[in-house]
Amino acid sequence: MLKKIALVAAVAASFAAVHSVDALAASKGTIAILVNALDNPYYAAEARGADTEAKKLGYDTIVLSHGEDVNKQNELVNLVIGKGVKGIILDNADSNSSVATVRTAQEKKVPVVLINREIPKDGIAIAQLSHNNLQAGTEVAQKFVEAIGEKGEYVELTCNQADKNCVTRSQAFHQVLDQYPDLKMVARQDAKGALLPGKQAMDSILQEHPNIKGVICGNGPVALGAIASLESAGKKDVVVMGIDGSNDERDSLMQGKLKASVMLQAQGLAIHGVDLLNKYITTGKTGEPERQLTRGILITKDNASHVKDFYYNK
Amino acid sequence: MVFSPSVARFALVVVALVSVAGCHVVTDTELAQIRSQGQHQGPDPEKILNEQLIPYADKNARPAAQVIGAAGQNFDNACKEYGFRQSAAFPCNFWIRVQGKVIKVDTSSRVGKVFVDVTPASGGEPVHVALETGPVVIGTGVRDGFPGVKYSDFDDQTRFAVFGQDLNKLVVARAQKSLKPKVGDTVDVAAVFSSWSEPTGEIRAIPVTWK
Repeated sequence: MLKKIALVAAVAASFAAVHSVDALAASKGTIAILVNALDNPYYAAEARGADTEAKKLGYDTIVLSHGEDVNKQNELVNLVIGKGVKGIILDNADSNSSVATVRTAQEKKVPVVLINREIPKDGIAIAQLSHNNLQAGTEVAQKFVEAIGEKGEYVELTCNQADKNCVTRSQAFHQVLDQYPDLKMVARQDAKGALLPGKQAMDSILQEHPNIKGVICGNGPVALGAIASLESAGKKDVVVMGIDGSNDERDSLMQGKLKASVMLQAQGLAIHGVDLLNKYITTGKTGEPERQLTRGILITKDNASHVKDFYYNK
Repeated sequence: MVFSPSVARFALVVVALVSVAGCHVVTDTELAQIRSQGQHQGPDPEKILNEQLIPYADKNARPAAQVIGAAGQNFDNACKEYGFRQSAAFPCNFWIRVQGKVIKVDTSSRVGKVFVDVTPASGGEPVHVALETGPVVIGTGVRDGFPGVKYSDFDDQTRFAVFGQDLNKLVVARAQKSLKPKVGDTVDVAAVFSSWSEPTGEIRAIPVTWK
C-alpha cells in the first residue's frame, strides 16, 4: 500500500512539474516514457532519446522507471492513463506478462509504442520496435570465429535468460558457432546481464578451463566483467566480445581489451517510437508496419570513436 | 466448530476432486501451441526455395561486374537499382550473375569458397567473386534478398532466423550435390551478396542456382 502511495505521489509530482511548464508553452499534451532502470546506461539513453524527441515535437513528458517489475509497470501505466496522457512509450518489463498491460491502455484509447522488447501479440500496441538481435548476435559470432579461429575452447556468458532479447542473442551466437565442430563451448553460464556476476562467473570458469581462447557475452556489462576477471588472472590474450555498445565498452574497445561489440541504437529506436506515436496521435495511424527491427552496428577498435551514448556519429 | 482429522481430510479430497474436474491438464506441446496462438508461423523453406526463390534469383540476377561496379560508385543508388532491402534493419542484398572462370577453390575453412574471375562486358580488369559453397555460409542474404518473405510473416526473431538458416542449409546441400567446380571450369551462377555499404575487400556471394 505504501509502495502504491509512493508511486502515485511520484507520478503526481511529475505531472505538477510538467503542467507548471504548460503555462509557459502551448503543449500538445503529455507522453509517458516508461523504461526499465534509469541508472542503466542503455535505458537512460533510450529514455533520453524519447524525451528529447517528444519535447521537440511539442509534448510534455513524464519519464518513469518500472525496474523490470511487472506489477510496478501495471501500476504506472494505470496511473499515467488516469492522468490523461496522450500516449505511452514503453520498454516493457516482461514480454508475455505485458500483453495485459498494453491491452488495458488500448481499451482506454491510449496508444502504446513498445520499444526494445516485443510482446507476443499483434494489434494491441500501435508499434513494436526492437533491435535485430539476431543480426547483432550473428555478426559478433562471425567476428568471434575470425578472431579465435575455427577450433579451440570458448565460453559463453549469457546476459539474462529471463529476457527474450538475451535468449535471441544466444541463439544467434549458436547459429554461427555450432557450425564449427572443432569449436568447443566448455562452459555456459547466465551472468544476469551485469558486470559483477560476469566477473564472478568468469572467475569460477577459469579455475576449471584455463585454456580458453575466447569468451562471447550476451551484453556489454557481462563482457566487461569477463575482461576484469581475465585481467586479474593475467590472461590478456583471451578474446572477449559482447553486444550493447555503451560508452564503457567503447573505451574498452579503444584500449584493445574488448575486441568487438554491436552497438544497439537505443536512442534511434526511441526517437522513431516517438515519431510514430506523434503520427498516430495527429492522424490516427502510423502508416508503418507494427513490428519493425533496427540494425545493430558492429563496433571494433577501428570505428569505436564514433559511439556516444548509444548513438553512432557518422 | 471443530472437525475430526478424518472428516477434514475427506473434505479436502472432495474439494480437490471438484477442482480438478473443472480443469484440463495440458501437455507442454499443447501449452506451446496455446502460447503461440495468433502468431504467424511463416512459410515452408523448402517450398519457398524451390517454387519461388530459385526462379526469382535466376530472373533477377544481373551481371556481377556491373552490379559490383555500381555498388562501389554509389551504394544507395545501386541498392535501389539492383538490390533489395527489407528495411533499414537489413543490409542491401544484390542478386548477381557470376559468369566466368574458376581460379581457385579453397576448402581450408568451413566457409568453403570458389573464386571466380568475372570479366566486365565493357572489358577491363576482371572482378573477383568468392562463391560460398559451405558447409558454412555467412549471413542470411538468401532469405533477406527475396521480397516474398518478410519479418512480419513470422513476428518472431527466432522463427525468422531458423527459416533463414534452413534456407542456407538447403542451398548448401544443393551446391554440394551439383555445384562442384574445379579450377579452370567455367561457371554461370545466380548468387546473392549482402552489404551495408560500398563493398570493400572480398565480394562474397551465396550461390542459389546455376546452369
